[in-house]
Amino acid sequence: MSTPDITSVEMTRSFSWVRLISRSVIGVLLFVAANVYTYETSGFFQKEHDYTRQVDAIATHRDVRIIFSGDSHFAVPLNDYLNDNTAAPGYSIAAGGDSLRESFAKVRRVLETTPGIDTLILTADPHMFGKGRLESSNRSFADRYYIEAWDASGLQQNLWSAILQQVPLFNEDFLQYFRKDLGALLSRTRTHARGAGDPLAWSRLTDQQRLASAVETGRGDHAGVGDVQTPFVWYQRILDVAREHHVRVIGVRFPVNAGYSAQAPADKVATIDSFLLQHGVSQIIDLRDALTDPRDFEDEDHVNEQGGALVVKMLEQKLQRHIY
Amino acid sequence: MLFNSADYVLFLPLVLLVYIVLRRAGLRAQNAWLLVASYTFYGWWDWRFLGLLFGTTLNDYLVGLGLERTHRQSHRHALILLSIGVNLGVLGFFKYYNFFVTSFIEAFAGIGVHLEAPTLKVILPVGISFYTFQALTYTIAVYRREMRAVRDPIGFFAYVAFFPQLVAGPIERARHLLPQFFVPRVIEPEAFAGGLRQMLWGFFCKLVVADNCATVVNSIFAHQGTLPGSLALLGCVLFAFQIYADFSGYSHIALGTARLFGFELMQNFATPYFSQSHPEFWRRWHISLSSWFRDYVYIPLGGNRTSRPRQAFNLLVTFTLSGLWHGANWTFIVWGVLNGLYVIPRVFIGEPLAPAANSRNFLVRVPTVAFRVLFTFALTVLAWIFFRSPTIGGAWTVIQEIASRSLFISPVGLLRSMGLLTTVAYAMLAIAFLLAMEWWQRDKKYALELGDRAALLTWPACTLVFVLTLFFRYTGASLDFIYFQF
Repeated sequence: MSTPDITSVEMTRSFSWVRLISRSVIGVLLFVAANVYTYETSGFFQKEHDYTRQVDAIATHRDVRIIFSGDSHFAVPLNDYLNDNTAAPGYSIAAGGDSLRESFAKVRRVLETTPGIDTLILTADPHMFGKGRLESSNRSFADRYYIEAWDASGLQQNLWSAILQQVPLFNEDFLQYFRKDLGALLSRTRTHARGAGDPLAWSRLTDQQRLASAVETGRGDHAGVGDVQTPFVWYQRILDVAREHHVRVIGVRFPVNAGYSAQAPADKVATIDSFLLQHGVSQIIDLRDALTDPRDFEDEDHVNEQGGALVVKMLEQKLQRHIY
Repeated sequence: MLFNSADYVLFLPLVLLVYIVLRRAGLRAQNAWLLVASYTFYGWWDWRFLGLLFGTTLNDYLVGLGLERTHRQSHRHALILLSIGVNLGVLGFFKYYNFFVTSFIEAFAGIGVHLEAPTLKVILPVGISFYTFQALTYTIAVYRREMRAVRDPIGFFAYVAFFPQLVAGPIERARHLLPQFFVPRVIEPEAFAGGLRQMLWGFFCKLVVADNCATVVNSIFAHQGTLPGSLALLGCVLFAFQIYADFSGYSHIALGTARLFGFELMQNFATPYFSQSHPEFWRRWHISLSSWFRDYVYIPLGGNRTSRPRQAFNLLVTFTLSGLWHGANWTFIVWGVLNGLYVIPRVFIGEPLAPAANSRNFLVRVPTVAFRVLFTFALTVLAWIFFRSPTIGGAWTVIQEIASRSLFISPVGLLRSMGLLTTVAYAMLAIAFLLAMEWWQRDKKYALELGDRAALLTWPACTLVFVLTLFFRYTGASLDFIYFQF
């Protein structure tokens, strides 16, 4: 057999292992530095800091008995209002964009680390059971809770892949954020949320404008509600973990514009209600029509802090206990 | 296991580390480790097919020994037929059974005879087309007395299952790769660094160019028949780059990985889209397969040493079989036939524009070369339409769209409404970077082979490609390499 020349090299200048290793070390150090810089300066990881800080900060609220978990419908009115009061028995771990997968990760974490919690107020919004909530923009933020629990069941691939995603520059969600930001920068079309900085912007619209906007958003948010199994599976898991910790679960729907709630098919909502009550939710409090004054809203499906305070009062009356 | 998976990031350093530690234990220990690693790599996808890989390898190993021991031509003939029969039989069953059965039924239905035959739910074992062809090069070489049979089963099994090239090639020749399992492998730092750079380039091709193109191409081909010609054309051109970057990217990662272990695999791509004719294209595209068909089909059919009409026939047969190798679908056969038809005219008329393309006059040479490159590329894209479409009818619809007046409708608005505009922009920039690098390095085996360039260029170039790969790679569900399905 002829022996091939497998020791052939592509370069003629001298090149040693020491040189290769020393350069590799420099490369790795630069990569680490780039990761640290990205982690400390990127808006995406700032969001992650806030996300995890909110969950960790429950430790500073000694009297917490009730936790709220859901998406922006809970987070917009409650996170500042409720969480700033360190003496309040209620605490919100809700975050905008959370799906039930993220809610499960955080509820489990909080129930395992915080003694004394006896009630979980969990979103029962129909849109949480829609196709639009199968993937969350907070996916990788919640991954760390799955990694810490050594539980691959909530991860897209496997634990090792999720661990690798925790490296900032390998994080795919960060990359999407970066690319979106870059695109906006290049096209100079940075988008602003409607009425950003003006708490009464929603109330300044005409009834017709509000209705049109609510219908359009409601249609998008409620696409495929009840058609997919995944949200029901996650809800079940949340109920199971609550049961393990002897925590009562109450399903709540916060106030929204009538045009928005009308887009949730009534039969699907009934199916969801039936599922929740059958699987351990002790009570469903539907406040979707409870507020009608536009000044209590930030937009079609979010009450503002003022509206949030009203909602908390309503819940206190219904539950016969203090939350704030 | 995919090269572009998190698992591979863990797998490769682990395998390499143990491999280096085993140097002291000897070649057999290293080969045994490579065998274990390769079977793990393959079994990661579906462990049930390890038995098939083992069985076909064992058959070829025993046939090789049999060929070595017997001198009776009739026995040798029977043994080589056994090897060919088993390899092609396994390939035929898993890949083509349903295709031939349904085509047979449809053909008879066309003349009014309605037959019934069972079709099976057969899963195509990944890489089967590659490793069966590679194994055949061994038994054929032993049969032709071009090499001695291998007695060491571990080395032979490691050769067939060598993980860098097991599932999508390059399809190595036994005479080239097998001996490397039986000589001490010296891992030189320069070759090691080159391997890392080649892998980096492969990852750039796959993650940045191919996967960004794939997002757009998949959306466009999912709407066949409803889009303007301009968008259909864009989809076809992007697919041409997707498949190139995808497959060449895989090959670069495979070659780079092999070099880390001290192995040299054959080059599989050589800037094919700069080809000025189709014969040249096929000398630069999927070289390991093209040369396999040349050596084991075209030349045995008579090759160039026959009359021109016979040469043309041989070419057509070879390209048709090459099309069929890619998949059990008439679209692949049409793709193969089309490529055969592109090459056949050269048999009769040669290269009429070659003198102008080699002219010393810049004003003659450059436009001629540009025309030849673009003409070759356009014909290639036309053939890719059949390759990408699920049916011939679908391909024909795309061609009709491109040939319609809607070719002149701006695709920008539609791309924006489909949410693809930014991805198209990234894909285009990535393609431009790929072509620029390949043009700059067109005399090299891969774009980051920078050995004889100024040393100062090496690290900035690698850093740039690394940064581009980090920030502009496709983000979404991991996309398989296209050639895994073959």
